[in-house]
Amino acid sequence: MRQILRLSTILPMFFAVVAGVLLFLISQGVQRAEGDVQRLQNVVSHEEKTIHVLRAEWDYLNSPMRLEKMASEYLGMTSPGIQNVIDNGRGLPDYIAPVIPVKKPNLLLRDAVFQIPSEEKNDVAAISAPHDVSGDTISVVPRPISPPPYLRRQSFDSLINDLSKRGGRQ
Amino acid sequence: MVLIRKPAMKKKPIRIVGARSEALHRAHRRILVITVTAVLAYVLILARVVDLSVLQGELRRYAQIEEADHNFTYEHERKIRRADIIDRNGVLLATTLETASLYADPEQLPDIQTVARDLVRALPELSYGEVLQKLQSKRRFVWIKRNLTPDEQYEILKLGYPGLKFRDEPRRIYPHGPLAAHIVGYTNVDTKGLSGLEHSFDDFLNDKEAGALTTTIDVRIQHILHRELKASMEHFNGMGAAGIVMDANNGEILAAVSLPDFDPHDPGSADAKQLFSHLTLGVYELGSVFKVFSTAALLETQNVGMGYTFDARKPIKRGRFKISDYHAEKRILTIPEVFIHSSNIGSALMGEKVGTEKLKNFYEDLGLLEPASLEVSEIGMPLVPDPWRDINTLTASYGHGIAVSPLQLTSAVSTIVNGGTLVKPTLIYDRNMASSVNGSSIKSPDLRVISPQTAHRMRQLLRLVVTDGTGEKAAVSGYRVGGKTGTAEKSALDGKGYDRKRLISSFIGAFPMDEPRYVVFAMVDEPKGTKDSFGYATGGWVAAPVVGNVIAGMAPLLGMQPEIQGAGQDMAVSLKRYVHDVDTAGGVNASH
Repeated sequence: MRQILRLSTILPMFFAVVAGVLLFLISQGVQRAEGDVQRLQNVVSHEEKTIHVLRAEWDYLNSPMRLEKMASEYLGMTSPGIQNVIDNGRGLPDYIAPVIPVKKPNLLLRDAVFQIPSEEKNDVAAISAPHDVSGDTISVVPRPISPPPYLRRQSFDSLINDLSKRGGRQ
Repeated sequence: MVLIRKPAMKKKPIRIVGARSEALHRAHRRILVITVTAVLAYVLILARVVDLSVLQGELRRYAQIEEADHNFTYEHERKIRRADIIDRNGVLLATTLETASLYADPEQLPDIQTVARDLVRALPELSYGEVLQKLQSKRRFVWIKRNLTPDEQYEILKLGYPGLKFRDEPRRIYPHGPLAAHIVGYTNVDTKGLSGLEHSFDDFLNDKEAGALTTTIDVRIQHILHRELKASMEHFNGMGAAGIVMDANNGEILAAVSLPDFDPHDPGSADAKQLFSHLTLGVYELGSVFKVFSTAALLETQNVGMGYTFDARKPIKRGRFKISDYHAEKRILTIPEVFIHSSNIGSALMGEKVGTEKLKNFYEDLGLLEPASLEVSEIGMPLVPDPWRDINTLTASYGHGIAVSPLQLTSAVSTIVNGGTLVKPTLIYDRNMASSVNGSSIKSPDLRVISPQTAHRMRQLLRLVVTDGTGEKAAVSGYRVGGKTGTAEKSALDGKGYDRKRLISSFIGAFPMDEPRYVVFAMVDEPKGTKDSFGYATGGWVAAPVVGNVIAGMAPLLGMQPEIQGAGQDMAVSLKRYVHDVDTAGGVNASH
């Protein structure tokens, strides 16, 4: 029995068992990692698909025709006349609009647009516009923004659903 | 050591002693070692079998079975997705989204007649007979409807039949609908390009490695042009309209509209008139706008001054042809007067002075005698007199007897006003890609057609038309618009001569005239006069306001600063000494 339990026999067996166990664990670890990578790739590609759909939706909702119609219907805005452009020529946008705004947005102006002023605060309503024209300030009087009485559902779904009768048949 | 062993059959133990006992012990030990080794080996093999069959096998398979479907879908979709078409600012003009297509496996359907009835109830545009016929076929795969909407898919899922299945398929979506339908084009249900850029760049768009196809179109300007043209067409009750905005220096087309247009999602429901592109495919005798070219040819080839005169007192008679003026001045006219009064007689005499060969070569240099080169396949062949006789020279000088597309006209006018270098129109932002399709070389040097001096005089003349002539409705304060009206009579329906009531009214404008950056063309087919226009349906009344409105809309959008000049600073002021009746000259009523 002593011959069998010699150190030279036990050690290799021990190492073989340890190596086997390690190999098994590493193999399992690799498989788990592969699974994680696969899942992450799925998530990424799912997100990419979502972004793609959102981008299509964004461009659909921002079509100039729709914006013009909504601006006119809900905000009473119209295209500037040429005399307005001449009078406020310095307010024209840059030819190439920067992708990242160079200036931080004017928080004061933003607040003026997004906050509905209470009656007591009406006396501090005049706020200068971001572009001064020939030294004069243009007063932007914030007004309460109330949701339109009826908001027609205008969404990307309507485009997709508009196609209902147009899907190819075979 | 004494070993006592019980014999198998006898109860009395056997005692083995001595050397034999030692040998037996050794044998026992060996058996033990072999057994342990074998057991260990079997345990290892068993562990591996469990690992392979359970851990890595079934469990993993079950865990991934749902993911696998998704993987396939997303990866597959990414590989097959047709590339986007975008405008110069990155706005999507065409993209591809995944939609569900419905198919059936009739063998898995319980009661075909009930299923067919439910299907028609969920998808009312299907016909019961057609669906029933499909479901009764012995195939295991029949398409019911391609590219369902999310609502329709929901209705089908609600039915819950096992044999009705979906397959994800790409669907081409045009977020701006008909806005640029004739340029972008459309695809069939299998997303194969059938017209426009979709057709001419079909291979590129289907390339897995391809990025988006960037066009020179600017959706904002496209919208302005579309809005103004449509308004004019409806106001004057026209049959159709077309318009182009082109960069005068590099030929990039910022906007191109042909009306009536169509919804590219459903080209099948559009009629031939809607699908027809007036911009590139239609060729028209555009009338007086051609006087730009005959006048430029005269100034370029004959070395005459602006005071050179032409006798427009009597109509010209050549054989059976008679050339007369729409609003005859019946006097001797200088070159600026011929231009702003739009005198056919004067222009015909200009063409005669230039000579047939030279005028023909000049038109050829401007690209008016060959089909335009553009990255779409719908290109019209210009109609050129063949053989070209002397009388054709006279008529071609004022835009009759020669028919070109609006695209050719706009390119040629761009060439005239930009200083004289040839402009090749393009719809593709990336010049390398554009040259691979339309054959133009990006490295070719600028080809000069007219001298800078002639170009400058032409710009003065065009400016004079807007300040003192037929195009005053195109004027936009601060942007120094110049241009030329055109009112051409269409051929009579019986093929004999021209019909004075069926007109093509157009205006070609450029701005700012001291250094033109953009050329704008507008044309309305068969406009009818209104009370507002005192019954006139000429280019000055119909198309010039369109160009003016487009310029007023697009120039501020592009950040161009308006610049007010004094009356004496205008570039056309030096020509006024050649105009002898400025106060009564032309006027919008005389726009022919």
